[in-house]
Amino acid sequence: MGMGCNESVGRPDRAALSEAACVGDSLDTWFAREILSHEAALIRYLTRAWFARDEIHDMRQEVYLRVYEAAAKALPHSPKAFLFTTARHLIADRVRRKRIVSIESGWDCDALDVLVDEISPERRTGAHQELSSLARAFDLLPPRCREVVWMRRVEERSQKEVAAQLGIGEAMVEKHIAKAMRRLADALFGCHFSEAPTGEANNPVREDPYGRQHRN
Amino acid sequence: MEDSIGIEEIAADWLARRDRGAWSDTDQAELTAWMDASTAHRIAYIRLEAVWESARCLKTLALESPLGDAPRPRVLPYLPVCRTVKLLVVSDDSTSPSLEAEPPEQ
Repeated sequence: MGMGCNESVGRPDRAALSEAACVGDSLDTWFAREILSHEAALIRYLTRAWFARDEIHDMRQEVYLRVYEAAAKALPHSPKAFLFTTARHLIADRVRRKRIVSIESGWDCDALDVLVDEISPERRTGAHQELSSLARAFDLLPPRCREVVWMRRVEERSQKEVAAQLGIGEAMVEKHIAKAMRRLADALFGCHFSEAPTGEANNPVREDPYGRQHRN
Repeated sequence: MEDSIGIEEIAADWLARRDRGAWSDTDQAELTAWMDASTAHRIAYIRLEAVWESARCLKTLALESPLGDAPRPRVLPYLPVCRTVKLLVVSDDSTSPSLEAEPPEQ
């Protein structure tokens, strides 16, 4: 996700980026733009390739860690390909470690290559699409969180003012904001709570792609 | 490795605390120390910070929503967002999107 409000922001050329990557902040920016933007596909990939859903969150972290640390030494030419190769290696490592199947018995790494193209079609994400994703993510927030985010981000009131207006403590406002950030990140980047394959529509408990359960 | 969900929670707490304002040099030093302690910390922070920054764009959505003093919408106007913005800019009539609009896809 480009995380910009408008589409006119051009990409820096590769040379400029490499130069800029010497500065810590710019590597962070590069990471957010080139790697985090593929989180939804990464989660789908991990979820399909790995049986234990409660390990997906940790695995995501480990993939990011490996990519970030490699990029700190040298930026990969193709960030997306590098991300998925890293994910594939991580899975191979875990398979080996857990001895679920023996590598010699024909566990097929190539099968995962095919999967990447299938689950991660190239798509253009413009400002238009980002705005609609943001609107959807916002609507998935619990009502109080949504209200706090609205007052902070749209009305640009301070946390203190929000607290006074809603008649709650400032610490509570901070808590709502922290919660909202995590929920927005999950909805925007990776996992869509509403898409959890729980089967029964009126099941009061749904599961996100990380295997965490949420009450409806 | 530290628990990734726990790290994410701490990162969110940091961002919310910074969002409070009155951010001192001491606060910044503590945050920097936390981020430098582990790349996992840094990544969790970058990820949530990007999201919180992008939430500013809600304002773009709000521009086309004729809120006034009305209660905040449960559902924001949906697609076509850009077209709607343009429509509202170029026309005087009340072609405002319905607050009850359903998302086009789910």
